[in-house]
Amino acid sequence: MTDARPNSTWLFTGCALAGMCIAFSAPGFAQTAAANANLKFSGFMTVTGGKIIGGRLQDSYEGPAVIDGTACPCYTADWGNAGVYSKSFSLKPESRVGVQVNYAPSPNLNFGAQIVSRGSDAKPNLQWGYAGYSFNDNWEAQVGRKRIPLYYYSDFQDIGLAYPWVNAPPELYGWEATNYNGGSVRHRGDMGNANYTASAFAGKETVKDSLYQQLYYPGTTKVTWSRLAGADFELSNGPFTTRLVYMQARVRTQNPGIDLDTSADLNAYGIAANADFDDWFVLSELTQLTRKFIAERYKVSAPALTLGAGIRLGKWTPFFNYARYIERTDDRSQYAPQSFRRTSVTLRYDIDLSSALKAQFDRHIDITNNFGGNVTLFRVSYDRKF
Amino acid sequence: MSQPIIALAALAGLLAAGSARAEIAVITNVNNPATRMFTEQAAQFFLGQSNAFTPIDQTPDTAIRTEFYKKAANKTLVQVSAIWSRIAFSGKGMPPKEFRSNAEVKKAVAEDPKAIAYIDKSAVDDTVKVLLVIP
Repeated sequence: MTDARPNSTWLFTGCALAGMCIAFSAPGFAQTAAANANLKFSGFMTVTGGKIIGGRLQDSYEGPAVIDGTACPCYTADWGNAGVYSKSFSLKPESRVGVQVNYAPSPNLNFGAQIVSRGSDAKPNLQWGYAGYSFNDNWEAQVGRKRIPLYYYSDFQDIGLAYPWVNAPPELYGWEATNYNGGSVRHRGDMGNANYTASAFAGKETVKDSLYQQLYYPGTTKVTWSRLAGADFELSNGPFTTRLVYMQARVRTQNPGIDLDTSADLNAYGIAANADFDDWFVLSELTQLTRKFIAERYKVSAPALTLGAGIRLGKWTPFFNYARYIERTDDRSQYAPQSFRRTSVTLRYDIDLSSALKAQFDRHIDITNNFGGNVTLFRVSYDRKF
Repeated sequence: MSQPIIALAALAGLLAAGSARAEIAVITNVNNPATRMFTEQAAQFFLGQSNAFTPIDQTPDTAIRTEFYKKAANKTLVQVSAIWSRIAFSGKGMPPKEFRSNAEVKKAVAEDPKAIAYIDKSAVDDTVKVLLVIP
């Protein structure tokens, strides 16, 4: 299967969106915005380029020779958007640009929308589009289109400035569905010196042409996450932040071209624990996703972990990370598990308050030797917000 | 006046000016019921951890902004910018409005009963109420 999404379309869309952002941040617009301070335009951009600098398929390799049009050895950096690196330098797998508008007609009511265009998916996609209502300082409800808050960084995984890596660890981040249409309620409060946020969410997501499934299947695969519901709890106390999450959904995957129609019950648990001292900081997250395939009567569980530490040295932030994703199944005749582990070192340089450069080396091991092979990857990125 | 005395007076003046600039007053609206606050409590509003108060910021080019976040939260402006990027682009709130002088900050605080802000202590007057002085 070849990749039919042209670079030129992506560049055009990206430039158009970036142009809008720059126009919005121009002095003339700033004055207009100041006159109506309840309306705010903002945006972000990440340009990431990378290539595999070392790697080969072992003789015992049992995976595909080509993944989404990319010859292997190859590295899937963004599962949800099918961003795959090869031995040729590419800007496509992870580059993205987003624009956002927020409007708050009254202190209690707010609207937000965010559109993102990607190198791997040039068509501008509505990532967020919601109406929010604050009942008081503690309770808020939102309805519309939002991110599924499955992981600690899910809500802002497109915002490169908000984390030390080039991108959020793909061992955890990146499934067929990353957004949903529905509603959520959020409660904020404090317990002694600690602040907490608790939220519950429910909704549904239909992905008509799943980019994630393009990694596996030819043609068009439709993915539906129905009965989607979950809750999370985040506690911050001084340098420590802990987040717990639970989520469940019914996942249906349909591809008539290959006669595929499966349904599975998905549930996920996760814990994230971060510590941020004066200079040192540690980020960790542990999750477990389990899919029970209903008709086929088998189960796949996938514990995943990321653990990293960094130190702030003025404008420089080196960060070391280890991540792994392990699949287990109770029926290998129906499902071939995939497992990966990866160590990375990232160096971030903060240019100013709104932009940063990063360079990252990754050593990725395809443990089950069936999806991409072992590779060493090098990436550089430029993150900016408007 | 002899030269040493002039020099001493000048030095004292410099020290006074220096210490005045170093002291930061955390202020709120005169009608807000709050009367005092600890540094950590004040910092949480400027880091998006609570919205019981509405934070009002000074612009990034002001020296007091760098000093305030360093003293109140032990964070650099880059760290604070990253925190608000996370909040703003995930539907959880918007960064504080920014004003370029103590006078503009005081005016904004006087207009919002829920406001919390920081200014040079020397700029405090009866249009605002002091919750905390950070030395």
